[in-house]
Amino acid sequence: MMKLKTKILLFISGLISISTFVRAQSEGLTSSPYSLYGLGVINQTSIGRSNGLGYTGIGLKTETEINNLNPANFALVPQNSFFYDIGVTSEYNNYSNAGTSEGRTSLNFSNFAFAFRITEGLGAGITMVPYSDVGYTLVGIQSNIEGTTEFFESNVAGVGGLSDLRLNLGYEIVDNLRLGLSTSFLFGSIEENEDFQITSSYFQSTETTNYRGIRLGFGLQYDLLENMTIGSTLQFPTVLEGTLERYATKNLDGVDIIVEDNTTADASSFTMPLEVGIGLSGTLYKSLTLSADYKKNYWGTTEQSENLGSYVDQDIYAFGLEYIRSRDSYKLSHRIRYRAGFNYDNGYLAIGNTRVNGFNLTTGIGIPLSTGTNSLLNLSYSYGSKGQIQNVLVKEDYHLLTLNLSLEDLWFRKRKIN
Amino acid sequence: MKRETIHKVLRLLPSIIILFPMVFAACDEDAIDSSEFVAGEVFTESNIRVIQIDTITVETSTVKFDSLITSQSSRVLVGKYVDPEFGTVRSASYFELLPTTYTIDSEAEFDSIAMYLKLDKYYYNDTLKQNTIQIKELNEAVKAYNGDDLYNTGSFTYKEEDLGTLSYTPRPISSDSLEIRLSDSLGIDIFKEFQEKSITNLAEFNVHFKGMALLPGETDDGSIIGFSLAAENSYMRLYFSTAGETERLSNYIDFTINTTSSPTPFFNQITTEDPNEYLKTLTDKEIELKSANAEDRSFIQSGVGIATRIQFPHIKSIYDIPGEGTILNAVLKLKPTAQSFDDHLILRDSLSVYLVDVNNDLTEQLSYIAVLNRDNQEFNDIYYELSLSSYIEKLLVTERYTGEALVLLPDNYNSTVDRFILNGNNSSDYSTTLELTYSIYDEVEN
Repeated sequence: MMKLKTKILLFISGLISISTFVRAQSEGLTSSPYSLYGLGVINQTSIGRSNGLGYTGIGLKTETEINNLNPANFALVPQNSFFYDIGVTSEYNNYSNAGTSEGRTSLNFSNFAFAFRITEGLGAGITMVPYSDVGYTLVGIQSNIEGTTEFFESNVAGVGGLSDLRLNLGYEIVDNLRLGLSTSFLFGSIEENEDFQITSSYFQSTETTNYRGIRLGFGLQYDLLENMTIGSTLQFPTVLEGTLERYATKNLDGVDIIVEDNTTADASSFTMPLEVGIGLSGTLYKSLTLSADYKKNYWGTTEQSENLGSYVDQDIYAFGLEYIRSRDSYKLSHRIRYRAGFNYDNGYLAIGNTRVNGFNLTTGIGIPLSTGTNSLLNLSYSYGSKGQIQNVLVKEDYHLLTLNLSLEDLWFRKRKIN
Repeated sequence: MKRETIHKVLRLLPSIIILFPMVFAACDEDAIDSSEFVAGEVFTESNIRVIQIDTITVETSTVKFDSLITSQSSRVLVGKYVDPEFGTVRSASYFELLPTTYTIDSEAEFDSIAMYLKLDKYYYNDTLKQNTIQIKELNEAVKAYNGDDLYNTGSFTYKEEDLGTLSYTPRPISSDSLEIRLSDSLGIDIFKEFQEKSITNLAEFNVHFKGMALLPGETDDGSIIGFSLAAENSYMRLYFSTAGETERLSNYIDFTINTTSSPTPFFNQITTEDPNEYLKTLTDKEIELKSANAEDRSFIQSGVGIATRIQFPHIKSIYDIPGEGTILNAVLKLKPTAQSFDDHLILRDSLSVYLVDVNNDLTEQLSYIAVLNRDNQEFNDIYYELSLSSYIEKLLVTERYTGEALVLLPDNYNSTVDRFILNGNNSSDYSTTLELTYSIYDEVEN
């Protein structure tokens, strides 16, 4: 028992140090111009193998690793197993519009998770994944000086993002039916800067919005056959409360003047939509796993709007495939998992009635780290594209690498042997 | 065995986590701040509104200082002209002379004496007309009773008869030197005193010759001309000669305008007579002639101390605009009254800005300059542009009304006689306006 406590303590301290690391890295979390809308670009990458499977997993039944896409699956953590997952991602994003094009590399901590069994048929997990990332710099935004025919040009930049610390519980109601409950603590801050110059005067404002909120979710998994599972998830709508801190300075006649210094105000809250998902997975010939997900996020009903964009209902279709030559082979090379996937997303944002849709092609590999456990080194590469160049939108092409250490530790087994 | 493997990996974890980012960070050459990505204007827009407002009340009025210290003038001003608005403008100059030496050889003989005045390029009004300079010998020393500075309103008596007189057509741009022959009796008198060593210092000289006044002709209506004060440019010269072996050897002594003694025994007497009915009401510096009561005009005349006073009594009404905002720029556009200036009654390129207190006493000169914008002169669109951003900012953050005001005067206002007429805030077509650039960074949500 002492040992368990020590391990949990270790993990919590690890969590804290990682979140510090995230903060330190916050300059380069993402580099998508689209992240200026809403809470930023909503993170798709997940934990473990689903990054190689087109981000599918709602209907994926697994007893060997963490599946963060459906809390019901936590019911399947085996006895004496303790799963860890630590991931980092790196993204190269090339974005262009009719006029310009720019490429950027960013680096991101992607997740920290662990899962364990509480009792027979009841498993739990704590995961921390980025919910959204903000990182953009746009220059030369022209706006009219009201009362004249002249324009001023401003530069905007944003940085930050929200994290999702999620507590999952999975319970096996009957042998082939599992129910999951998740509670997400969403928190984080987004800093937005704008500056411009008019004649000899300069103005700069920095607004930092701190968001926090709780979101509940449910998940179900039902095994249709021994090798076929159907799953569904539900994320309830919630409202994130925001507080705004503003700092504004200007320079008049060569003198810097503080206009506002850390004025705190209630920012407008942000509504998260109802999200439902359904997924199906099946295993063929013991070595081929297929997984398909469909998600619908009812952004339209949140009735929020951005200055130029509006929120629309989003559909995500995803498909993934994993091949393993032999699960039980003693030869490591036979136990390597090969993955591929595809993900299409019609976008939750419409700018000038044009939806910002996108797709991802993913591929991945899972390398076993030992023979006695299910520890894997998961690597994935994804190519994605978003938006289109039609003098309105910005098109993004991004290459994403993820590295996940999905580890299993076996507890109490030694004692058992003794 | 197997557990140990895992523990090995776990032990390596921190280094893996740290190394992985570093590898990629090394590839990340451009910092996020260095972006030059120009998103289309349809992609996003500024979160900040910028408005330009020109409806803020500008309250202009005319004030007249009781007097100006003109013993600190940088030039001699002499001349007279009749101005349609400001009346008869006249400047005379009074000063003491300073001999460069007091010794004359006993063998020498007096030749002549003359006044030399070099034009210093300053002029006002019509220089094609003839001016007269009358030189008078003063009856009293050029000194205020209390040993103070001398003001434009000062006056000293002088002897009736001219020491010399000259009518001339000024050519100020070519910086001519005028030569005015003075009466021989003055020359002989000084010559003798020096030769006989009756005068050996300035005090003795001043008792003998108290100074001179340069007066414009009684009937002149031409221009007011500036002459240099410098010793090498303007002086009285006493010529004498001594018989040599073959020919006479000429010599001279210069008497320069004394600006080195303290208090300075020099000043310009600048006066106006019969100005328009509005300016006549300005008998005390605390009287403010509102533009509204002077056909929406305000006046400026240097030399005599007429100035345009400016206040922005309702400046804080800018905060009536909904939302949180701040000013980014403030430009006052002062429009000279049409037909109030011409090729003779010229507009200068700039005006200086001073601060006056509630009693209209000048407290300081501000660093602002109102600059004449002639870009659209051909369309009769000519105005003084005065950037006042930091002054307006100060007004906006000041809680208490201090009664302070801005005052416009030409730079070097104690050495010139420039005059200006400016439109007020209520002229139907060509008003003086304050253009404020105001940015709203937080809209009020209602």
